[in-house]
Amino acid sequence: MMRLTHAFHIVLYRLGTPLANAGLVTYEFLVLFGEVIRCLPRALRSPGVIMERFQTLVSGAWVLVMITSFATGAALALQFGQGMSRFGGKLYVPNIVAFAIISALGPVFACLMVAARSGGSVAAELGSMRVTQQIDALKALGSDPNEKLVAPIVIALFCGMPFLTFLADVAGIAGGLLVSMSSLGIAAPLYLQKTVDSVRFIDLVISLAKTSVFGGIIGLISCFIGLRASSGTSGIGIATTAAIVAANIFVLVADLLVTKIQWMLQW
Amino acid sequence: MVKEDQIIILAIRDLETRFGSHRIHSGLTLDVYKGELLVLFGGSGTGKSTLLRAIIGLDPVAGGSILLDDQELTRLNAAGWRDVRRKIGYSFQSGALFDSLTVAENLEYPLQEFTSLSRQQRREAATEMLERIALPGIEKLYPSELSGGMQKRVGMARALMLNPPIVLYDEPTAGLDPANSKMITALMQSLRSRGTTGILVTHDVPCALAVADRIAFLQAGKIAIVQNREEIKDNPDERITAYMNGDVA
Repeated sequence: MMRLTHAFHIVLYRLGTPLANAGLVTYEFLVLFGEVIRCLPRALRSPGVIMERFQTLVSGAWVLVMITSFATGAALALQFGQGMSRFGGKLYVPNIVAFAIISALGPVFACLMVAARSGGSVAAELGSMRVTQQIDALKALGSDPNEKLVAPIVIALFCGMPFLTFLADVAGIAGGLLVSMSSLGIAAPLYLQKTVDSVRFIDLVISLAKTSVFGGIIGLISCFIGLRASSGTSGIGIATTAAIVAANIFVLVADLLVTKIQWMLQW
Repeated sequence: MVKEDQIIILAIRDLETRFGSHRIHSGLTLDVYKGELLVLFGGSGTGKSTLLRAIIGLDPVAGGSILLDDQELTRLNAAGWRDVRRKIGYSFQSGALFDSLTVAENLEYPLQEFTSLSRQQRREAATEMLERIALPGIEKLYPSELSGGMQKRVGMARALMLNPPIVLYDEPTAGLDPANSKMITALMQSLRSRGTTGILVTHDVPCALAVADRIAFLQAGKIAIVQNREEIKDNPDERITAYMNGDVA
């Protein structure tokens, strides 16, 4: 009995430190979230800074997002086309591609690409600023780094993600269309008609709205990790990797949750 | 030389700072007089830079008080810190210039943040400051295009743009060639002669002896000795002589 209690204490001790650390990190993340909300009105007074961030983080990512989504749509059409031809269901390919791209793959791939490209760059930039004392310099010069750096990034990604998602949706459907026309013999008007028939307006709205929130949170995660980078060049590398991994995991889990909620609410 | 009737501009009482469970300062008490240049000496890791960072609110304070003109700094909110940071210039060891901004934009930053000067006026002030630190014509360069010494000088110039009554210098001459070191020493002397209060953290003994009114020696988290420059020079205390002669790090 004594041994069992001792073992239980050891397990509690071993679990305790990581749990406490996780709790602390979560608390600090929520504090940063609160700080960003608090300084949003002031950050919105500098549209130039937000536009600059929009250009680098959102506009700079559209080619990557479109290529990824185009290839995904094309591969989806090709695989489903091959598989469903065996059962005579080839004509369902446009519906499947449209539904899959707009509800899940378009938004998720757009977010994953932005998390990798823009999230990584934000974490590296802020990590580098922290290591070289530029964040301290901002504070010493009377500025709030959350207002000057974090809020514009979060706003730019919050506003920009729906645009990128829309482009991802269009590119994915175009990829599916190209394959359907060239390999499955489905005419373009029929493909487009079936696409329009299979997608509801609410699907598109939910898809764009959720990526907006995801975009803001990708920005917040990247900033949070970048601002906590430890000293040295390795610290910046670790922060960049951690930001990409954390943002990617967040996107996948959050999308799963949103899909489940949609399912439960029968939207 | 500090006179008896001098006004205390910064009073630090029983200061305690920590990094996690590691205590940096414990019961540190120090007065800084208006218009003086106080040098902080002490071995590596004794918390000299941490003290400067605590004064300007970059590192948290675990206990004690810091009074600036009778205003308690340890209990300030964000708005309060903003006002205080207008009065205190901080010259970072690395310069800490914003690498996405040009030299002129770096110098204009505090003016943009705290004044209502026009863009033209800010640019004129930046150009004037660059002439003052003997670096004219580098307005359009980025920090990455400057040498380490130039970056430090521009960093110090940025800290002076608002003419703050107090300047904190964190190892301004560390790693510099003699010419740059001399220039920075001269700049500190000129500020001191204009009545700017300064706290200088340095390991550069000749520079410290050239600019200091008083020298404080930090040891084991406290101010062990604080004396006028002349008194320190003649002080037979082993800790001081060993430090000045470079026998301890």
